[in-house]
Amino acid sequence: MEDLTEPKDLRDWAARTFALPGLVVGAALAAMIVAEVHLHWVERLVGAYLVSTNSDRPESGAIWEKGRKALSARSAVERLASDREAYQRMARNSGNLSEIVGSLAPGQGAMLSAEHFRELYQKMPQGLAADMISPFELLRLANEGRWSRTYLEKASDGLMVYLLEPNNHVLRQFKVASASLALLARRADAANQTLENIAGFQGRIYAAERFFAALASLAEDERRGLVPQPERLLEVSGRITRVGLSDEALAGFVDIGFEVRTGSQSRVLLLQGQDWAVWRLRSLLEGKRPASGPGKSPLEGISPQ
Amino acid sequence: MTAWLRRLRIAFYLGLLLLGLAVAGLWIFFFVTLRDLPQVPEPLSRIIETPPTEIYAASGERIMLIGGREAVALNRVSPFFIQAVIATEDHRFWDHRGIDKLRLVKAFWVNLLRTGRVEGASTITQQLAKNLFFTFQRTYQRKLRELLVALQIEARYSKNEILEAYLNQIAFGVGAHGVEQASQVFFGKPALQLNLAEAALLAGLPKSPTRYNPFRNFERAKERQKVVLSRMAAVGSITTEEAALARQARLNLRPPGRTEPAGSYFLDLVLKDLEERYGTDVVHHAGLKVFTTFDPQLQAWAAESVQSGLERLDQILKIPAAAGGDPNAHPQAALVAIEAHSGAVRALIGGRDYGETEYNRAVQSNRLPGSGFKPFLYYAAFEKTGLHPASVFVDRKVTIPIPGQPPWAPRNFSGDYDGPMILKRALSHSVNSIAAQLVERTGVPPVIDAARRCGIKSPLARVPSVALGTSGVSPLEMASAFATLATGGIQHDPFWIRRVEDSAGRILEERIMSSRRALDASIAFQVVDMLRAVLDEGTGNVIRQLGFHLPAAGKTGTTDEFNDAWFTGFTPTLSVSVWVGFDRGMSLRDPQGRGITGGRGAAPIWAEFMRKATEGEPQREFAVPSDIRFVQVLPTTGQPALPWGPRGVEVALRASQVPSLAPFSGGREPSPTGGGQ
Repeated sequence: MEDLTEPKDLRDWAARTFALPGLVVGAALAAMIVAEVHLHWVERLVGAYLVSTNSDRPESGAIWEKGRKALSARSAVERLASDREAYQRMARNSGNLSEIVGSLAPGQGAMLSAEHFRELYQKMPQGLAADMISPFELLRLANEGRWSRTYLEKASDGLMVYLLEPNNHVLRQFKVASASLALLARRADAANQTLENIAGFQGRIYAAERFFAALASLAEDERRGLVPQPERLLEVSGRITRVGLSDEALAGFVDIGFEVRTGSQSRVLLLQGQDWAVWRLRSLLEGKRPASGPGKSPLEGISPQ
Repeated sequence: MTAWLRRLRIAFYLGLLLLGLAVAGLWIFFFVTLRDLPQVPEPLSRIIETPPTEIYAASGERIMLIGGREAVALNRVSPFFIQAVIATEDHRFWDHRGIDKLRLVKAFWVNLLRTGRVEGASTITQQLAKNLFFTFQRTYQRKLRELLVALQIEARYSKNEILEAYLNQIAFGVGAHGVEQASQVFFGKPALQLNLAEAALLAGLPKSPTRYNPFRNFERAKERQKVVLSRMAAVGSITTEEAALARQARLNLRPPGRTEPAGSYFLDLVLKDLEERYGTDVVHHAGLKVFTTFDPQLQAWAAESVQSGLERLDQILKIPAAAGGDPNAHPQAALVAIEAHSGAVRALIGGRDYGETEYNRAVQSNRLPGSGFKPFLYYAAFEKTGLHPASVFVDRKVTIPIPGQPPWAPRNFSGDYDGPMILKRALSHSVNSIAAQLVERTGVPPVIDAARRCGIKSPLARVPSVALGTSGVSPLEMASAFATLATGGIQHDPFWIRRVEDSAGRILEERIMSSRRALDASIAFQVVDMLRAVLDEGTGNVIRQLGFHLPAAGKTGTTDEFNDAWFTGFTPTLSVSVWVGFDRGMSLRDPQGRGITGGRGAAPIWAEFMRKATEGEPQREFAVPSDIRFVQVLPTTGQPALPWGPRGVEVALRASQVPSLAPFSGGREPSPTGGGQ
């Protein structure tokens, strides 16, 4: 085997460089360079390698950042939209105003159709409804044909109600005070309770027999003032065991709670009587001498609304 | 072995070692770089997936797109434009695989040998990679990463896909991203319809969108177009004859007023509001649909009126047009137009030129309103003290003592004192001495309270001079507060967004146009009636001279050193405030030293705008409350004018105030049509 020796002088260097192996290596190198210039094989190789490792690399850079922002922005909007839809759905399906109010946080609102609001209005206690807006005013607005929607917005101290025309101009706006909302809530909660559990009746709960006996002793107009819709009581299945008179008057009306027992279950039906008639009855129930005539209620001013 | 040969041998082996190290270093560098090289999204069209936030005018016309892209397929782009871009940016685009090696060598050579000259060699694919993933920081590592991503893009996507992605994300300036948007912004036509000259102009912009912005530097843009055309001819895309013809072709640029998003000050306000409510990311990336109160036609008229008013003012002040470029050299203006019965802002101009300065003087600038504040004083005085438009005060030199401070001695603008006069005349002629007596009698808190009830929200100093407008307010506040007078005391908060929807059209919020009774209707009408006299015979009578004749009311305002000139006025439906002044406390004075008043500087703008805005509208009178009676009184005594005596001034009095005018009231009921006068 020939020993490897380094070139001794320049001639030896040149001789070795231009010998066959050197020329072959040089030609191969030149061919690679020419092939690269024409066929771009380095770019293709690197590119193909990068494509193959693409999924392992981080999602970084402006476009990904933008994508992430878009995603988070869209989910934020999605939350807003679905929350709003939920309020709207709940509002559409609500059978009474207190349900809507209960589900709204302060500052949030729900849009109802004019028809739906009229239905809710009809279900409200007469006094409370009239205190919000006169039924005749509502009738006038409905008849004009411009009132298309109603926006309810919960405020920290009550509920703002906006009656809107199609372009969202407010036709009428009014506020339902917190106290009225509390009354509404009480009515909503009353169904499966006993009279003791409902605020405002304590100390004014009477046996049904005593109540009806006193009622029977009143004149017809007084009875009508006290229970304007007796047919609602006739519809009740079960037996009325006790009756409570509220200590709060609202727009001339006072809540009367009828506790109905069916088997072992008790529930309360709330009706509204005119305050003067309720006072007359209370005087009888408590053995006091009633003052004469309607419109002179000692309840007036007890809990002014 | 000779010494030099030995040295050569050492150098050879050293070189070999260095080469080996360099190769190893490059290899390591490649893999290190590779480790955090960004992933390329699949498909590439993902870059244009984000839906844009769209802003609509009240008419339903879309006025702005934020974020997103108006992407077009390659076959919807003019071939001229494609050729122009390729010739200019990367003429070997169809041949290379991400790197133009010849150009790279050339650039390397130029950068190495010619100091001070930097030549780039980025291909279109590299530019795309840079725009998609990297910052514009110039480092070798960034360059290498960009190059590697370009190689990957080339290996994965076809040339057409790459070109399409590039054309749809490239920035052309003036907020235009992508060729379709650029074509619409600069030429008002789809990208497919660009001719050679237009295509060459557009293709030249991405190099430096601001420098070559044709709206600002048309000649520069034209020079750049010539370069593009020469490149196209040089690479054989077009013939030299075609290039020569295109150079001479007339370019129909879209009118400048329509280029930047229409009413940019207004849109700025909308954007700021949206960003405060939803956050920047939601506004820019969530694809909201925003329905505004903006009226493009009113806005165009507002812009025209402000522009011509400012040109007129430049002439009066003898400010040469050559002073352009320095926003402080020219007076600025702001205009706000509000729908009186809802508070909807219909037009808003925040300055002379949004491109020059984005500072929104209609909203952000609190300037002293001067006498423009007096209507709140008069309202407060009538409400609190029972005074009325026919009450008589003496125009005289007054000094109001202020506890703990030097006495306040306001002077009349004219410097003269005219003796006794009724309050209607005092307001229409803007008599300061009587205003000072009124605030002394009424007290400061009721004046501030009246302004607050009308909608002024800026801080107001609790000093008597506040009644003469010495606390700054914005034109938006003034227009809104005067709208409360226009509606007879019903206050609406100003607003500019009616409804916001998500990209699927679900409502996120909608404006409820609620209102509240802020002022007594009868007293508010009395003030309105007095403000009518400002236009008909008072300091704002230039409005009538300039041809605006519909029932309207308003008030001029000028500050002591003529730093601010105002006119705020309204018809029963539209309330408009105009402010004129310099940004930096300079006086509005002509070369003779005469100051520019509200009547001279702002009222002509108001008049021109209102003339256009109300053209063809029927004559609408202000609603007259039922207890208002119109009475002719003598302007100096307030006594009823006798039919055979000197001519009187008609004043609006509440029914309870009429009997106080003895012996002859001459009262007149409001006309059944609601006509006031």
